[in-house]
Amino acid sequence: MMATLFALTMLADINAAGSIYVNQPTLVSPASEQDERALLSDTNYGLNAEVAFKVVADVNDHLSASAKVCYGCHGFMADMAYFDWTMYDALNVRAGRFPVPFGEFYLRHDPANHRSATKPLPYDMGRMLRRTQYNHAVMPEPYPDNGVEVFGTVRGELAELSYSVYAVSGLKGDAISGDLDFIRSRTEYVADNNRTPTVGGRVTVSFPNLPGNKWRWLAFGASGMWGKYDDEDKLTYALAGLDFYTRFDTVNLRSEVMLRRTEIPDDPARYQQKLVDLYHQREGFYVELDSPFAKYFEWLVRFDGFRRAGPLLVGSPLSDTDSSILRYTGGINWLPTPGVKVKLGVEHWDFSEFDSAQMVHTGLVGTF
Amino acid sequence: MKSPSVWSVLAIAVALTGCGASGPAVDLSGYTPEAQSGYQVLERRCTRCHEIDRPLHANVGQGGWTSYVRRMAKHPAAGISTAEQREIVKFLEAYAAQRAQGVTP
Repeated sequence: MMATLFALTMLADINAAGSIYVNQPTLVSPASEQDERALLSDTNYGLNAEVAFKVVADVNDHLSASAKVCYGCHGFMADMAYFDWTMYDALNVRAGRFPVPFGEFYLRHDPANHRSATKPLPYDMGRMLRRTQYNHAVMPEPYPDNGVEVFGTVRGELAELSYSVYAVSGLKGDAISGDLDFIRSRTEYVADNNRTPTVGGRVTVSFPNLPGNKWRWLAFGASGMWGKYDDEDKLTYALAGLDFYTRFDTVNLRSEVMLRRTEIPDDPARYQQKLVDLYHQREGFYVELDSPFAKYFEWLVRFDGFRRAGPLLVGSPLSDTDSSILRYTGGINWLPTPGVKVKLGVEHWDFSEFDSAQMVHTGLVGTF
Repeated sequence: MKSPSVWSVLAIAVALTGCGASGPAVDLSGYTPEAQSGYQVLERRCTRCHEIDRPLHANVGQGGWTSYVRRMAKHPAAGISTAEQREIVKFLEAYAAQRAQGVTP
């Protein structure tokens, strides 16, 4: 794949772009040493950085190739390596390693593109508090995977319909934990761990030309995904989500709600017998308002949440079979010069079975 | 610390919706009316996913914007019609030309 992409870039117009994000989280709420260890266990608490570099080559009007490498929690990764074959606006084929289309956030996952210092909670990974206890949120973002996607847009006078259907390797996990493993899903990026591809789709209906000058946009989306995650090819997972976007003048309102239902092994000895079921469910949502203001600044407020419900493994650090997190975020960004953004975010975390916590995130983004 | 209520978050949000952008990021006075119109479309469409800064200092030379904008418009729900793509390209090509001449836009 990389050789093909390299050959294509030799024949084509090439564009390069990228971003660098440096983040410093600080726990500002008082916590005992033991609580602090539990809160921050696997969370990126020190200064951390993400780097992304993307090259796109337009071979002709119908063929382009993209490759992106990124550096983050898991070292250097091939985040994208795919080609797009465009027949019509309504029919495109993408093959290779690409961002799997699920939800509204996946196109904005780069820290240079989303306004908050951290990702919405349903998609949070390394910056999630109590990550060890909850074993991550609903789904990872970015989520690049190998496969084939067919997508397109049909445009009308008032509305446009976009669709995407795909088959990819799928998220990976194991029967021992009875859950997905986001790190394994990203790092084993050559071959699937089982014989069942994950299939899914996404559809959006947009009204980009609303009457009037202020209310500018309205879009609704729905996403779904199904696959098997364990090496033995037995345990299934399913994801479903709805999203909404609108804009009033320069103020964006973005919102998503989603759930993941993950099958667990039928092995009662390994699960606490408080609740008997063969699935656990993770649900998440966010509502965010953001806007530029005063030329060099942006503001945002976000309310997001996460809930894990279902049987617990013996020895789980959670005690409740229905455990949740609510988070309240406010942020201000400063754009001192084109291509540079300073982010400041304040977060209040409310846990259903632990003490609340407050975090401050400072970040610096550079784009090119 | 007491948790903020959903209503207090909503109240802050409503108050902040009055804080919009103060004006265009580019001085448009030296541009043709077509290019100025293209800027308005750029601001309206592209900032759904990223700041307007990104295309303004992107590494794309003169003549390179047609394919770039076409590719961006392929993103699901991008909301950029073929006519709007042409308008955006007109502005970005004019902007690239000014940059090439060393004019600080």
